[in-house]
Amino acid sequence: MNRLLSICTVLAVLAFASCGQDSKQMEAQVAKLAKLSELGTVEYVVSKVVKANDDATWFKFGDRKILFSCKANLKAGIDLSELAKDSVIVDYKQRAISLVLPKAKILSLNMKPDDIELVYEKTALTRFSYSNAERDMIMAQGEKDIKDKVPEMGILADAEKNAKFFLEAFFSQAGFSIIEIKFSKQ
Amino acid sequence: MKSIISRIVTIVILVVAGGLFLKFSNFDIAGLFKVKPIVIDKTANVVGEIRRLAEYATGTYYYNVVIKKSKEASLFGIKMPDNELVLVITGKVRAGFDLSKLQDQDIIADSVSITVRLPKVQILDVITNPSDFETFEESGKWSHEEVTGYKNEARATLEIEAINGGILEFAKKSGKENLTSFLQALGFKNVTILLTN
Repeated sequence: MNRLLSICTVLAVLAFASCGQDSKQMEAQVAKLAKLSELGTVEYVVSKVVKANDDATWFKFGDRKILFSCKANLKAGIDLSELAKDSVIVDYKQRAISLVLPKAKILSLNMKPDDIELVYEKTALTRFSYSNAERDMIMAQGEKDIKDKVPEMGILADAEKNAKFFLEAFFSQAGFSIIEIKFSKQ
Repeated sequence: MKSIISRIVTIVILVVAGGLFLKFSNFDIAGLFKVKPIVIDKTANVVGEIRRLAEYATGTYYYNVVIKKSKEASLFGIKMPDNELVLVITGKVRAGFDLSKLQDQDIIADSVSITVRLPKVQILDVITNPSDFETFEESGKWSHEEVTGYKNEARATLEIEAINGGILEFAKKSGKENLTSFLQALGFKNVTILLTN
């Protein structure tokens, strides 16, 4: 009777454990082409030190430290697909154009693998070294921090200034003599 | 005998009191044994370089690349199951025109007609960020340098897939359509967009 109970207990534990295993399926390779209409007018190369100290879990003995040095390329500009129909006013006789562009935004952020350098890593004897998943998770936090700090960088103001400069030159070449470019306040 | 009974009663009272405390105090005992997430320290973002651009992106291609790697493993000379690394990378390729290459003679206009010669369509960016990488399987030790090599492999695959998937043709067509309708909205009746091959 006792033996039967033990077998049942082991089976139940195994069944429970298998339910907890990673049940994710490999994602299918999906390709998708999509239209864009984005005028990128400025690129910032931002460098950052990303460092972490994994000592917050009380029952894990020993410390782990990691430090990366990385670069991210941020491109900003105008999404012309957001251009409203009534945002362009043209006076053909005067050869004048008035254009209200949407506000500048970040068009892309790119942290190339080659631009991420592992500078320092230290692991106590009682711990495992950082796994690839953990390293990516740490770098993803660095990526998010760069994205979050975009408003403080001045990149959007530069993007609008450059967009104005480029479009003024373009419209001038297209024959307009009075060119007014503004940016939407929304 | 009396002392044994009083001890049992004390234990029962303590267990019941402990149970009631856990039930009604919202004390999360499981939380005590949760692994705390690794949080990065606050550091500055330093703008190192600023470049003026005039890139007109007209097409994008999203794709998932799966990289599978394995290597032999052994423990004290005894062969062990292979170490495996499977990465799923969700990347994006942007294509379009570098309008900084436009020369004055590439835009010819009069009051009703305009002709614009666009530069050659090109891949503008292959974008893969740390948040785009998913480690689906990882056993054994994989160094940062090894994984960087595999990620670069994935980026190269992504670019090739985008080109084979027709991103350049798509961006060319989309750019021509976008620019034509934009210039028509400016009042030009005859719009000609020439594409450099």
